[in-house]
Amino acid sequence: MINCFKKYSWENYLFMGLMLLNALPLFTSSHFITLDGGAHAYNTNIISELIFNKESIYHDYYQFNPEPVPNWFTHILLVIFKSVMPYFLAEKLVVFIYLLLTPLFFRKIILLINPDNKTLSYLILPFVHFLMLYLGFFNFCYGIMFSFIGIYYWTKHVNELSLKKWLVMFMLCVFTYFSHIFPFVVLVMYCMSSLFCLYIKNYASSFKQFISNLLAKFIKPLSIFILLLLPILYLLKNYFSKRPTYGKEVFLEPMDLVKMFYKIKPLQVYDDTELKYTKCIFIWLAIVAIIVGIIALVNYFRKKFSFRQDFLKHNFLFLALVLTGLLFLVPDDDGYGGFISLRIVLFIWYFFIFWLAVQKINRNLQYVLILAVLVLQSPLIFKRVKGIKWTASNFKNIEKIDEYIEPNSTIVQVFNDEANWLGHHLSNYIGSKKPIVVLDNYEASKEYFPIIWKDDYMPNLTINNISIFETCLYWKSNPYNPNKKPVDYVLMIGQKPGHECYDKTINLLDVNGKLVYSIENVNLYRINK
Amino acid sequence: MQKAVFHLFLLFVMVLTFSCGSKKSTFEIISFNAITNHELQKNDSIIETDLSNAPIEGIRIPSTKQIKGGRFSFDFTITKKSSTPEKLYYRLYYQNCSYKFDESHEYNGENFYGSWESDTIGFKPIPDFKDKTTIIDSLTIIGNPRNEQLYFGPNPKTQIDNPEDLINTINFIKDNKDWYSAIIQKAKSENRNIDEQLILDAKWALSEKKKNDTFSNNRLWRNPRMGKYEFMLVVISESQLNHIPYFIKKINLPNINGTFVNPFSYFKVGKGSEMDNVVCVIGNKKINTRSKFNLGSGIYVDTKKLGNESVNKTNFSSKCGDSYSLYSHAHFQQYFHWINKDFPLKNIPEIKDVMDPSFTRTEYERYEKLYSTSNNLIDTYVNSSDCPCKTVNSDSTTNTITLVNPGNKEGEFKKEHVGVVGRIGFTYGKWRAKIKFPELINKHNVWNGLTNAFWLLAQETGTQWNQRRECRSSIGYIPKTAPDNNSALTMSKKKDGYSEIDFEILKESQYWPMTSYPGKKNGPKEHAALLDDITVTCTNWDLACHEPRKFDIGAQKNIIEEMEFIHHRWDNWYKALTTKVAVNHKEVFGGEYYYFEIDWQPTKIIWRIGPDKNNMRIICIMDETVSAIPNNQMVALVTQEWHNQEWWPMAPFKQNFVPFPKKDIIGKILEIEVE
Repeated sequence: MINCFKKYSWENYLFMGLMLLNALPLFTSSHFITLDGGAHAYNTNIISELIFNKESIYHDYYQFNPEPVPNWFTHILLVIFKSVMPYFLAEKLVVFIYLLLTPLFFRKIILLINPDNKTLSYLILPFVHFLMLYLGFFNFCYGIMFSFIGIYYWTKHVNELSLKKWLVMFMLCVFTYFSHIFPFVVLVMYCMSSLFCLYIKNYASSFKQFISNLLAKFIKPLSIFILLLLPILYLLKNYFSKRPTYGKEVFLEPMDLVKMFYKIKPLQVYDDTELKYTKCIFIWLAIVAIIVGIIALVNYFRKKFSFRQDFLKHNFLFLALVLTGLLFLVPDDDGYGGFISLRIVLFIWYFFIFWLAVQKINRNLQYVLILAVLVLQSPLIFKRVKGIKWTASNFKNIEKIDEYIEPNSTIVQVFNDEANWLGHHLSNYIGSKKPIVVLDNYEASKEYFPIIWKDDYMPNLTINNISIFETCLYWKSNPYNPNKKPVDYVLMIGQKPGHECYDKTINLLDVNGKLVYSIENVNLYRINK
Repeated sequence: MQKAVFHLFLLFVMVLTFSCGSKKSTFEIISFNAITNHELQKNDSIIETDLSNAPIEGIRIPSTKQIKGGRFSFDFTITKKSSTPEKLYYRLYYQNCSYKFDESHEYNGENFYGSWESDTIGFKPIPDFKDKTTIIDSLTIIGNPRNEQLYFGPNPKTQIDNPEDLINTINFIKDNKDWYSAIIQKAKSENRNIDEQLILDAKWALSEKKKNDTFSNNRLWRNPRMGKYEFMLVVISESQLNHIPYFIKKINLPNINGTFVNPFSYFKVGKGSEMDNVVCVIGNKKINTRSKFNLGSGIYVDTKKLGNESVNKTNFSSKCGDSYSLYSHAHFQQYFHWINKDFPLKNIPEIKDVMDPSFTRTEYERYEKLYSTSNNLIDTYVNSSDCPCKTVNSDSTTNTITLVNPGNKEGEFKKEHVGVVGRIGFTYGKWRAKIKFPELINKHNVWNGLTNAFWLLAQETGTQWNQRRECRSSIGYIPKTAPDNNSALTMSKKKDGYSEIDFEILKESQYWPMTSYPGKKNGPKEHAALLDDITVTCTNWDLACHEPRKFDIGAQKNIIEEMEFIHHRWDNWYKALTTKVAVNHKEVFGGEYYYFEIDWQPTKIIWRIGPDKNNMRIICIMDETVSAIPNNQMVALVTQEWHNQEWWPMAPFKQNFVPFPKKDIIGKILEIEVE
């Protein structure tokens, strides 16, 4: 046992300790409430019910998405974990795995490319806490994690790829794709460009050598890789061809995109004051990068370093530049998914810190660099802890609301709590434990998640025989279906008196419903039969 | 180890590839005889549609005049494979298969399909049987077969006053003692005679009825498509019937997205094709339909289209006018051109018979030289007839329509358009016209300035019921009225009701300006004035919808069906795509007639011309990759027009320098059919 501990140096334990400390905000509250967390909880329950319970009411409303879309991975993981522990622990475990493995594989990549730069692997720590994690985009987080694992595996084995290793690589690509498309695309970009960089590094000492090995050492592995990816690329092509974006794209102003980069906007989660610290991180990293870049250039000119030998290291910078170009070309929202620019900026930063972390840097400068970054990160961590507590407190009011709702009933949510910007899918938690059909299931409506509505059979949902579309409750229903079904409950979160829709709904509920639960700004109405 | 992993991987792939289930059924359809009517037993039987009431009632195939009862008959025999007591149900469907999207195509819901006329009847129960039974049933192909609400609106029958209705109403009032005595009282108090009061009250009663008659199922707004029809029989067990979605049970209801689901698609390639105890069979026979317009049925004049308060009715007759009889039965009405005041006609003050051999090119050039700097021009506009029925004539003995561009007397300076427009619309079809158009150039190849046109235009342009499908591109349809410049790009919209497909025949260069060719140079040239060719132009007004993959501007070479065509669009905002083809003048105008055919299909338009039906050649094709193909209902037009010289900048003779016509210019429409 002692030998086992001895195997690792104190620095390893320090990294591990900081990694755990970095994951600590997750455990500062009983619940880790995110914007989409409720939807994940609900849909995880639906998946379990559809698989394991033939009699479930969910069979009437939901079905598995027949299209092999991304966003499957964490749902499956949650189903598995939820079968042995309560959902909230399962969710924390999923996030915890991400918070551990992502920095770990970042470090492994750095050690693989430049073993002298252990210290610089700490650079990743602030970058695992980004907005999308707190919005509950767990599949995106896992996509990042798998892309890091893929980058590591590819870099380590690219020169000795056996059938087994190709299959492992294929599986890593599959896992990345079924987590999220964007990290998958980034992983493919990395694999292809790094193959070229490694070829340059190893076989470009002379033109003759460059040509003679081209087929065996570059074209062949590249072809196998593309061949291997064909099934996934086919899925990718189908995914985009089914989702025409004409007229739906929203582009951001170039200046906003530039600001997004230098303010490291992806790291801003709960409030604007966080940007103070992220801007400082930017300034600090930029200064170091300029110094490191100039030193490297001087050394290349003086021929102290071989630029060819460092080709793979600079591949990260090349990818960061490619993504920067992409940032100005693609929309921020394509009508199906949002925060596209933010995701690209995040990956630009990943490649930027990858690049910085593998450069030859004086050991002492490394310590100074990391210390400053970690110091700047500390207030951010405290803000995350505060934010997590705040979201959990908002959740408290509806935590036990399912006890007031009969199983197999339908519920509509009306959300008017503008102060709680992460609360839009809170009602989804109601269906995470009990078989309750929550009509605000945005995942099922999006058609790029594992569960979709059974549109062909969706009844015309009514309140007092009035189609809910004629009220202000624009949730899932089919006004064309002659089969009418009354809604059982309406959940009102927040108040907006004077607003036409709010007043209309209140009047409707006064006549047709009965208040069965009320706490602070949460009111649950049971609709009269 | 590696081998084992590889084999496992292969096994996984094979299981995924071949693990498709096969559907089972406890019954079997052993025969399905479509169209058992004895009148239609010939294999190549073509039904010519009965258009007698089509202008106001739409088309029924077959009509009661064609087949007794006006229905196609069917029979099928079904046997049970096991002794299951489960009840079975059946339904018959029809679908136009000449002009359809494939069942797996995303637009298959646009196909023309239907079933029973009434939407209250869904799947019909098959009476209980032991081993085998035969069912006989029938159906009629009708317009708006899904009974879509979109095609409900004011009843065309009551849109203008019917004298018969007036007489019937007067008789009704007279039979109603209370009403009649009230009218006598009213006549006394108003100091009128009783007959006058009766007419007034009857008219009032009719107008009230008209006000309430605004929700009629206007089947004529979605007439049956021409061409072939296939028939499908679906037999389903009771338990499965409970499992199929409501929009398949009731074809009049859309799915949750508001779109209709084609049962042919659902049962042939969709979810229905995978269901146990659902058997679908396509009939052994198809029927072919064709519509031939009756050009001798008179010409209706819609006085509202004239734009004048007072209508000159001096030329009205039983064969041309605004009577209810013509409104109900005439297949064509006079077309009154909209005069675009942005394009004035500043014409030379000469009246000549340009077609006379004495009018030479030198003469034209002399005029051009003489007047090019002169202020002594006639500043006017081309015009449309203000005297309905004077320039159009329908002949019931020869079943033809004559069009006349009137000649000018001394001191008159008019270039007057003439034309007729169809009153029965169709979506898609081979629209073929046999026309004796007036000649365009004289012995010296000098053009008389006229453009002959056979074209299709959206029926009741702008109405909600006749919109084109959505243009799925950031630049959608640019409205026809938008200006021809870049600002139009900002006015584009996803939906629009305008569509137009043209044949235009005029004296014009077959080539485009040099600026339209790649590199803006090296384009072909010709001296069109010297040639005895005229140009046949083919145009699709796609309203600049940018959705087609090969949407482009300038003169672009496109290969479609192994043929090469030069398609031209002036600019990104230009609303039409045109091809010009040079044809010898004598070929088109030398005979007694010439054929023009617009073969409008869901994914392409083919323009054909030729001296006879069986000897036609393709002069242009535009498919969905180069131009948005319309899918709304259109009507046929034949016009003889004076186009502004700005529209055809390559024309060797400029409209403004062509003298006003001295003699009447006469054209004759001999036949128009859709198949």
